[in-house]
Amino acid sequence: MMKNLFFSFLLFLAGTSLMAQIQITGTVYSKDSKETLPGVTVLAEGTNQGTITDLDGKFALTVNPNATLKFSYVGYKPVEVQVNGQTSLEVILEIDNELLDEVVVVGYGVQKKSDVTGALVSISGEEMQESHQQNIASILQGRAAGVTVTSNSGSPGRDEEINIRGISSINGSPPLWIVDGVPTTAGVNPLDIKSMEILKDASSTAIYGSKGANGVILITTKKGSKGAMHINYENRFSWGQLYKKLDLTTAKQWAKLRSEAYSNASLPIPPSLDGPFGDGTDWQDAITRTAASTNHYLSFSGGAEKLTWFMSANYNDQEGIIQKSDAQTVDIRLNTSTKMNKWLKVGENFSFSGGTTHLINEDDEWNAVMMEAIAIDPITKVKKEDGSWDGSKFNTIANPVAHLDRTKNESRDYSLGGNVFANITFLKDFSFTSRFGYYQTFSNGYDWKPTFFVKTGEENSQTSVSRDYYEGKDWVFTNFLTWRHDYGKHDLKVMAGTEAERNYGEWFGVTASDLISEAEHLIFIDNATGNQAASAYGLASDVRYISYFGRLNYNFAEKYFLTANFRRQGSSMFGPDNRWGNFPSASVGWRIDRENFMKSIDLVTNLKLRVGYGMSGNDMALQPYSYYATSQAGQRYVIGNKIVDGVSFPRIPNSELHWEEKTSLNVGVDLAIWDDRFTFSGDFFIDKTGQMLYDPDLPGHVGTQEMPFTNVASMKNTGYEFVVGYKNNYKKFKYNFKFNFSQIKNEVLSLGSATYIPAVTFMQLGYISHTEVGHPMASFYGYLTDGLFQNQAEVDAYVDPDGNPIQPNAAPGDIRYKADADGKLITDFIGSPFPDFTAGLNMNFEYKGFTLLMFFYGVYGNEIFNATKFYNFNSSVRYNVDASLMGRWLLEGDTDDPNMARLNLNDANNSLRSDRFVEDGSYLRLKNLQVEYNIPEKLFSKIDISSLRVFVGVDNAFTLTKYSGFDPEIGIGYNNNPLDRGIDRARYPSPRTFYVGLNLAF
Amino acid sequence: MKKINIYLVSLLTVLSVLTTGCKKEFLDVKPPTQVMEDFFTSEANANLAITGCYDVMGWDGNHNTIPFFFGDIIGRDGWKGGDVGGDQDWMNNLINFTYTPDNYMLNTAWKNYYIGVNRCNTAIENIGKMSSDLISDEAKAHLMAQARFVRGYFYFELVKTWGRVPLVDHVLAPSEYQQPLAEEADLWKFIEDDFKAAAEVLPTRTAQSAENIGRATRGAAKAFLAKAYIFQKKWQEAKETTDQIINSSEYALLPNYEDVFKLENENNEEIVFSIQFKETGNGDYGDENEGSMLEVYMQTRNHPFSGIGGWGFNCPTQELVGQYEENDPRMEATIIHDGETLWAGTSDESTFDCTFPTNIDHYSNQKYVLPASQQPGDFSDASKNWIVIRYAEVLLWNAEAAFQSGGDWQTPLQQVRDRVGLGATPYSGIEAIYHERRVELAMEGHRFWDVVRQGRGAELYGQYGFIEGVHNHFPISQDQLDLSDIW
Repeated sequence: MMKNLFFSFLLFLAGTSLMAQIQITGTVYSKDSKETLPGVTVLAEGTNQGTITDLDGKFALTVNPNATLKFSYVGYKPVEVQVNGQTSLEVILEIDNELLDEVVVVGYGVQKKSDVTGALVSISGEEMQESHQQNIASILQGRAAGVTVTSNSGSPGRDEEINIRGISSINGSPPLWIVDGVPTTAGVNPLDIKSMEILKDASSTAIYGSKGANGVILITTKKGSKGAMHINYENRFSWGQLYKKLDLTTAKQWAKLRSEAYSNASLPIPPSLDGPFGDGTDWQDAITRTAASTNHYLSFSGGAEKLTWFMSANYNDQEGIIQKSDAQTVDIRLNTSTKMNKWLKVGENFSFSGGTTHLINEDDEWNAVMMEAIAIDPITKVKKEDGSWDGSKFNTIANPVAHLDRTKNESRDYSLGGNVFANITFLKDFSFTSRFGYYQTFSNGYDWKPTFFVKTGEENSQTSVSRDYYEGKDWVFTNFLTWRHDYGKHDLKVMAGTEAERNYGEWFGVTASDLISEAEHLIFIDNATGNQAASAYGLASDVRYISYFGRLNYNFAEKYFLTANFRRQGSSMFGPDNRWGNFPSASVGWRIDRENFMKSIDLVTNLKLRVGYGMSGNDMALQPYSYYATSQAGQRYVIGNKIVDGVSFPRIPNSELHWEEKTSLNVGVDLAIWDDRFTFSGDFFIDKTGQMLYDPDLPGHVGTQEMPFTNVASMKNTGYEFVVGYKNNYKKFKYNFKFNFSQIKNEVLSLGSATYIPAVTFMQLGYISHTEVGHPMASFYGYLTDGLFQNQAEVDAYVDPDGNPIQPNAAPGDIRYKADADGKLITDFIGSPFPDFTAGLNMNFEYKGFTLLMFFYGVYGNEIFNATKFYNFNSSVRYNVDASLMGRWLLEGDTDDPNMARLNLNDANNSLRSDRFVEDGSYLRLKNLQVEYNIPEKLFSKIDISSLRVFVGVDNAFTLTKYSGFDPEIGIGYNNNPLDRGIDRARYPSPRTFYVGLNLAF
Repeated sequence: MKKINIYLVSLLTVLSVLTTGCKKEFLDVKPPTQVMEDFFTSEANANLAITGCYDVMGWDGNHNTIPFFFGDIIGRDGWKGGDVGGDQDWMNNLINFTYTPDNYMLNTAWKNYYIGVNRCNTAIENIGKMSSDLISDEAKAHLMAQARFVRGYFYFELVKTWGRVPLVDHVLAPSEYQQPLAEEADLWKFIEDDFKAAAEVLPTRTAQSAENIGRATRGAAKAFLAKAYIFQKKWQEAKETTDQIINSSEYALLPNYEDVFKLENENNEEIVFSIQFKETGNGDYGDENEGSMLEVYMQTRNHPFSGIGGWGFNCPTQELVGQYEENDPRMEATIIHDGETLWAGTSDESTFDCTFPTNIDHYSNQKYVLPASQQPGDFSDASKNWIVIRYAEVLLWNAEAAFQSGGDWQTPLQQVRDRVGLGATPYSGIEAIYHERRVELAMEGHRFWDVVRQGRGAELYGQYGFIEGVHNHFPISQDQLDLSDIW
């Protein structure tokens, strides 16, 4: 009885105090979307009374009348409200941009974007996919400041050259590709990409050691997520055409010009030039076609409690605009990840890519099909009346249609691999990741030469069959441990790890001749009667690395950031004394907008200053085993009437070889204002590549065949780049602009004992490109034209100080070349393939389900050495010529244009390497124009799909340029020599492509 | 928690050991080809290195360019020929004696000869170090002798073409890359020493087994030694050396002049040394095969040669044709007239059209023509050997040396004439020898070098711009001058 009374009394007391409190109700809204927010935590400060808002954003709480309520929700800035006796509240919460920070992938880990202190570009998968293209490199062109992409050819199966912050080495500077943490050269389908990060400066890339000097591209593929299964299907059908044809002469015009060339050389005009001729053959039409291509993509992704998965398959069938060139590929990807328990997560990423490519000859200036099409005369027909191939009676250029007809070159390539990983989190702050990646590549080449006869000199009487095979095995085993801890305002993260890597490749090939039959099913080495004398080759290469690396991230109050990286790497490529290299780097950042003096400025959501410095390496230029004097077999001679093998040692070994080193300084600033509606990010950098490998000529009497490489050269790239973005909406009309700009200046500082590298030749023109100290690399080089001699008096007056004629073989109408004070013709730099700047502008407009995309890409200030002019503007009219040559020099005063010199079959004056071949290559291209419509849900509500989008667009819609050749985008030449750039040898043009497609998501 | 910690620690330890344990050995990768340190360990390998030395003799960049381009064309026995307007333009300045050091062929040939020298030096040094358990003394001596012979050949060509060149007798270390130009006397002595040493060891032509045909022989070494003496005007020594060759009875003139150059008669008893070629038949072009390009170079442009037309260089001049005496059958064997039919009555029967714009006198070189049945599948792959020295020339050297040193020059001269059924020479004195050389050895790449060494350059080529003392040798290529710090 007393117990009960006591308890009742307590209850009464409690009830009394309770009765002193009031009940508050209210609703919480989001400032941005104006909608109610469920799940918001409401706490009465100083007590443990709290609740959360319900599905309608409402809450009810009993508190003291003078309590302070604190409202907090993930991603939003917390708000405190004094109750002050109110019983009903309306609370508005604002998105906290800083907490909703993106996380970006950096080497061996992730980092909040706001914490990044290096130069890094992050591109989302959606951005990569919005223009529905299949080629990552092509999509990247013009989209990331400082990343230059140049297509080397418009044919399917050929690749692009990607350079991050210019060309870092005379030996080429391709970036390092890392897919899901594993370095690989296999391609990735853009539709599989979740995000892509590009690391540009040494403070970001130094952690990759000897492979990081040229920038790093990190790709993260899509993974599944918990929830219902998502299915995505996308297709694309496209048609490509030759965008621009050269305006060459008709048969009638050509006969007239060629006859004039004969008579100007005082030679009788051959009867084969007697007409009458009509228009003749349009060879450009004859070898090109409308190229139809298709792409289908299907992906599934989903996840259960512990397992998430993503699977995709892609089929691509692409035709090239030159007949016979095409490529088909199939790509498959499977990513899974399982959370075994609280501390262990394991997973795998697997991909397969396989395809067949048919290549046409675009590999050398003597036999490239496109070159044949512009050089062969228009009088020659494709086929004679009797149906057999016609061959030119006027020059040795092969009939390109016949050439394509007999081209039977096929390449089948497969690559499969991926990685397995385990991630262990323990002791709250530790995370350990172990990852093993493996890629296997197979590449098979098939080529055979049939017998054929077009004309004497354009024939083959011996069949041959070639088979090449390459197998690559690459594995990498990475282990790293990360520890992080917050000590109040000090945030510290330390990572340390090791990595072992092996790249093994083996290749062999056989060529045998004299097949017993040319029937397609019999084309095998066994059926080559000459297979006993077949030529064969085979070799392997094995390169291995071991590395130790570490990183320290520190920030104070999320205002001051410091990142320090270090990697020590050993490589089997180098001799035992030079195997190990150290690659340190550091960068700092300052979030100025978080300083107190800037806190009040709401306008600015981000203002960050970054400075970084570091050292990275490049070992891609080196051949393995260069520090040995390796023997080379195949030095054959005939002894005893038999061919016997011999051996030589073509190279002096250099045991001191080591990697190229790049030190770079980067200063950057990031700015975001108006709720991130306006963003700006700019960087200035100075990169110096030293210890560049170069093999300068040794004096001939040393007797080496291959000049030894030494680390002697150095080069500098300075530049700046920025990207500006603006997005907003006017009611339901949304728009988004992104403009990026990049300017890079390249200068060769030293080439060791050499002053220049005579880099590239073209036919009889000799060396047309020099890489010389004090100039940008790969600059064009030649004579300087000075108009045409208009009369004999001018020729005679052009003498040296001794009175000897400077150009004794010239006549009126021929080109005059500038000479120096001694009467020697001057050779000098006549142009550079590097632009003054490149820029890209991406515009995105959205209204009621319609999206309009426009992407412009421009290059300014670059020059092109138009080597096709050697054929089409040639005084001997040996080849087909440009129709404008009808305006050639005939009489005094006609013209002073060195490309319009007088015709002369025996001309030895007008086709010297000179600036008449150099043209301005600046261009502005509408790279992509697309309209996409997101079909409204109500139209397909009956079917269980979540979105249906259809799109139609044009790639390379138009190009504005002064360049007279096919395409101002040239890239590097056929043997992948980085010093051979900007030289147009009738490069396979990039087509204009129309496309339609749809995307279906379930 | 504790359990997890133990697992983790052990896992971490295992993993770190795995990745760091195989440190050193993991990065030591042996290359898939043999390296010099391990190479000279057997006679077979040493032999491979010697074959590598011979190989350079067969490259297109030196042997087929200098002799016939320089020898015959600059020597006015042949017109340049080729295609109209712009074919092998580097020749034009050489022919007119208006050349400058930047002529690119001077650079290519120079480099190729020295690559050959380097291969020989490498072989001599490394084989020389091989111990007797790796190779027998006899085999070693034979291989060394061959290397010295080949080295002598390359130096001969270098000195003949350029005069003063660097004397490199061992593999150079980087500190030695800058070498001075040696005196001609020192270079000639070096050449003589190489051939003398080789002659002592090499087998004679008849003692050489069939499987070794093509390798240097004693007679060949002596012949080159004689040639070196002739070029230095050491007449006494030249006479003695050629006497030795003649008296060795190793060589003889073939009864039929035409037969000397036929493919079926390669390495016959008149050939003292020839550079061996054989159709390789695998479709490889140029230096990748062991055939030669000489045939396609000299075929008339209007005559098919293995799938293409000939290139029509080195077209005999009227001046040369006019040199032959009236009944000299050597003209028919050397010169193809326009419209002439060869191999009549066989399936190879062919009428030659020698009319093309650059062939001024409409003749073609018969010594380097191949009938259709012997043409190679690929035009760069012809089998015919390039005859460097044949017995007829040894006799003529003997005659020239005898004349200059006061000996019997008529006998050897007449031997050469007897072979083609000609009586005594209508010329007298040294003219007889000069004439005989020209018609006997026509279109074999000797003419220009003969005239210059005989001191008649100004006399015969002065009208074309030759200046004695200036044009006896060619200049060192500008590219090489640029690479030297001391020349």
